[in-house]
Amino acid sequence: MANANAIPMVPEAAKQERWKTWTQYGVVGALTVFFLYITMVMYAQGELLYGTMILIFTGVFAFVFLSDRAYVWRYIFPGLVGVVVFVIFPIMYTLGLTFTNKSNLHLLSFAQSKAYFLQQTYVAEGSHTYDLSIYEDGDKVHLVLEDPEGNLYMTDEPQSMDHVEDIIAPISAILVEPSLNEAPRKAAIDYRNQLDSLQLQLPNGTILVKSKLREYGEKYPLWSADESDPYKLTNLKDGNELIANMDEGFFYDAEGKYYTPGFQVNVGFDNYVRVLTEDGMFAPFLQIFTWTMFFAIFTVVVTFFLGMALASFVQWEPIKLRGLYQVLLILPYAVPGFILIMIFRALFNQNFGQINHVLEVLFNLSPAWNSDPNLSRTMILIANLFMGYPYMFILSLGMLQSIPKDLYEASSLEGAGPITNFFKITFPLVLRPMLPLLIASFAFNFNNFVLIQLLTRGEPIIIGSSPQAGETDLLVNYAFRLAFMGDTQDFALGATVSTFIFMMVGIFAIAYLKAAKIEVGLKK
Amino acid sequence: MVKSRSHTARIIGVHLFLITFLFFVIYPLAYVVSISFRTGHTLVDPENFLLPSDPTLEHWALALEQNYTGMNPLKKDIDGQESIKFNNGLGEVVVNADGSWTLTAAPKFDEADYPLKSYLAIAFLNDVGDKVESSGADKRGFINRQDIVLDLAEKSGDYADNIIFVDPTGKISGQIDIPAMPAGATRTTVQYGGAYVSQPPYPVLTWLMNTVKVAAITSILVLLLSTTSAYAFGRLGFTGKGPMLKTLLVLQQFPNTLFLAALYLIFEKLGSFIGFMSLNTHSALIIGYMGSMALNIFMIIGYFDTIDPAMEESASIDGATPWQTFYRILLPLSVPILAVVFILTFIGIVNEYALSSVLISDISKMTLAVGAQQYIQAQNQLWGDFAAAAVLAGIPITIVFLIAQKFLVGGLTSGGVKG
Repeated sequence: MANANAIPMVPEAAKQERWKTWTQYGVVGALTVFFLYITMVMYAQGELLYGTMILIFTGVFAFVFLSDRAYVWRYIFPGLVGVVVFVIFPIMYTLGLTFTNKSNLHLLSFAQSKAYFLQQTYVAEGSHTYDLSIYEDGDKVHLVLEDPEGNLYMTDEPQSMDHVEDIIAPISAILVEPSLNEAPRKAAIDYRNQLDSLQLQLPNGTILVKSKLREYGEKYPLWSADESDPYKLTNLKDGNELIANMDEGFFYDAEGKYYTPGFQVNVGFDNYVRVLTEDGMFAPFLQIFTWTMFFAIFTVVVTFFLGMALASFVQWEPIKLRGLYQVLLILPYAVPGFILIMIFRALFNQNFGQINHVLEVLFNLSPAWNSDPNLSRTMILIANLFMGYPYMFILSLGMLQSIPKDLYEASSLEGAGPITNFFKITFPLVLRPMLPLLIASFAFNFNNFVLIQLLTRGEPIIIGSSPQAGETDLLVNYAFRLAFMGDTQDFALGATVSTFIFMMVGIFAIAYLKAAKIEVGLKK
Repeated sequence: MVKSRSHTARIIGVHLFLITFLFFVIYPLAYVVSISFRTGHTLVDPENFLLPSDPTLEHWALALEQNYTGMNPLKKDIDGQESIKFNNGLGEVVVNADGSWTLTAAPKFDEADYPLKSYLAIAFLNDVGDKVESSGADKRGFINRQDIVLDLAEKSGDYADNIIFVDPTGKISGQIDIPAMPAGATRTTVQYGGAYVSQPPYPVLTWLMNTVKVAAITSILVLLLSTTSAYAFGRLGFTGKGPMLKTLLVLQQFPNTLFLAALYLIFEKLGSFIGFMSLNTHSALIIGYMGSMALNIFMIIGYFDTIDPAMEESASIDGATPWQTFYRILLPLSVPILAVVFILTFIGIVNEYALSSVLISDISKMTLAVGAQQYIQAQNQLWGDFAAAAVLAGIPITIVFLIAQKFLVGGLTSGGVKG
């Protein structure tokens, strides 16, 4: 580190008063204890990955903030943690997802899925049933059960009925009906969700669950695990047997019917194979990739030239009101993007939009901006030019000022016109310093998720795509559609498409670094 | 100096080009303002290009979370009937064939929404349902229009004499002359205003508050973390500095839209252990934004490089700790770049859509960028309300940006690169 500015690692100067040292120990110690507590909770719940991560984090945290040798790292530790946890780890996680079948049908691990089955209960026929009535007690309610012999049972504590998770409330025998107001009959309907998750426990330990709208019954576990075969579940009600298929991530019965919830399994390269070979995916994938490239290149090139041309005009001295022009030209950059995009959605509305109204009146045309793929893409490009040119305009303004004026004077003595000046002087001089920004702009537009999501949501749908893909989807929107918009929320497939984007972005990033000639802290 | 003709022509040409271009730039912005003042949710006003032909403040009242009391133009045929009955929102109205009418007040709406307004008028229609010209008609084709207002009894003095006043328990009667049917008309109708009260469909001000809250806290935290990091990278020596900064810059190119699913699943998992990281909380959203600050770090380092380190060196010789030199000397000198970073981050967060749409699902917790989309559902497109909310939210952000633009232009060019 040949940085003359650099202050050497400075524990010597960092010596501090005693009370500060004790405060430091106190605060860091308290936080460490807190993090360790979270680690323990994680381990207790079987979350090894997250538990280990937090444990490592805690160790590094304590070291950095207590040891003098790590003094410098105190300044970057919080920022680095942010990057590691919310950029690097999610990227790794995404790569990991591509080798699984994680979707909303396969959210749980095998153990969690099996536990879910084992928790299911049923009310056996012929067992005791209890009629339910609800009594009001202030804001809360008491549940009263009556068995066929007329014995009454009441909850020990009044229930507030605002729980969302499963709870068990104790219930005991009472001799006479409680002297409370009975709630209206529709209370059983109003509280049906809460009653579904409210189990009642008799003093002898029997658990009662809701069996009908106004009835509780004794509950039995629906499934039993097999001691010798961990992949087998037996239905205690009808004797049906389920076998876990560790390739597919589902429990199947003898007839080949699967039972939800499924579980997450490792599928190797299946997702990549699907994207690259399946008919419903590969063709749309290629088409979307081509469109994404076209969109990004077109946007960067056209906004660059437009922005630079406008900047040249605005900086031309004979033009009056240059300041006003400049502010008005920046306006689209100042207005929040999510508003501009929606305005374009309104303007281009196929049936009720202003643009089609004008075209209809003037030329009797009404282009199908929303249903024709190419017109939709045209609309997107127009909207993005509108939103993108001010950035290039602003950048060009700065760049143009740095071009020496005498170059133009010399060339005008030679008789060169403005067009020649632009292509022989302005453009070459501006291009070099702009290159890294153009690459960054290309990378940004390559992943311009919000524009597509708010303007077209990727529609219209590509015919024959399965799972669905949109004609105007960019790759990043396609990944989002797979992960969040489909019926199955296929996170793994979405992550697979994201992985292809990672590779592209990696290339852009390296190009950016090369073009920008980034050097760190060594400027003279 | 004599200017050539082509020179003048060029200047005019440039002006014309800029003005034409600016028309297309400004029209969409004016269009959304226009929609926010139009009656109903119309995207095309056939009578006017930009100025609303029937302006109303309804969408603005709703965007400001106020109830709006208005009236709908309604009508009922009276030909060949002894009397007709209808409810105009103020109460039950009976109009007899001879034009005498009574109104028994029974308002459907709360006192807070008073005054309720209505009117009675006659109009003649042809077979198609269009109004027919006749003598004494106003520009909307109404004949003998009588305005009625319902308000609390003590407010009766506030209204002009030509307005018929009724209090919420009152009963009034009047007379509306029904002229003879003019040529070309086939129907006689009683036109009346149906009072209605519309309620704000969405909590726009809450969204605005949420957005400002999330953006302000995020910007402050990002500022805090990126200045300290920039200080370490720019001024302190430590091993692995260069590669680490390059790695940060490469990672910066990966927008979080690429790993939204992962972020969602991570927050879902962590949130079940740590309350402030659970889905649907602003704290989770703010934490999620913390990953992207490499560019800020780089911008600030660039600025630190322009500050002469001599002062810090002499401070450190005098026994100041690195923290003291950073906090007492470097920071006060860096206020301009800190302002740029703050504003850029703030605007970035206000515009952020992807992560916010995935993490937040409660309407009352949404930020503007996500909330504004609620207006435009497939079946129910409330463009008027959207426009008012968008203009309301957009104006402060736009103004802040325009004021700050001089700093930002510098920040954008210097921060991105060193060519």
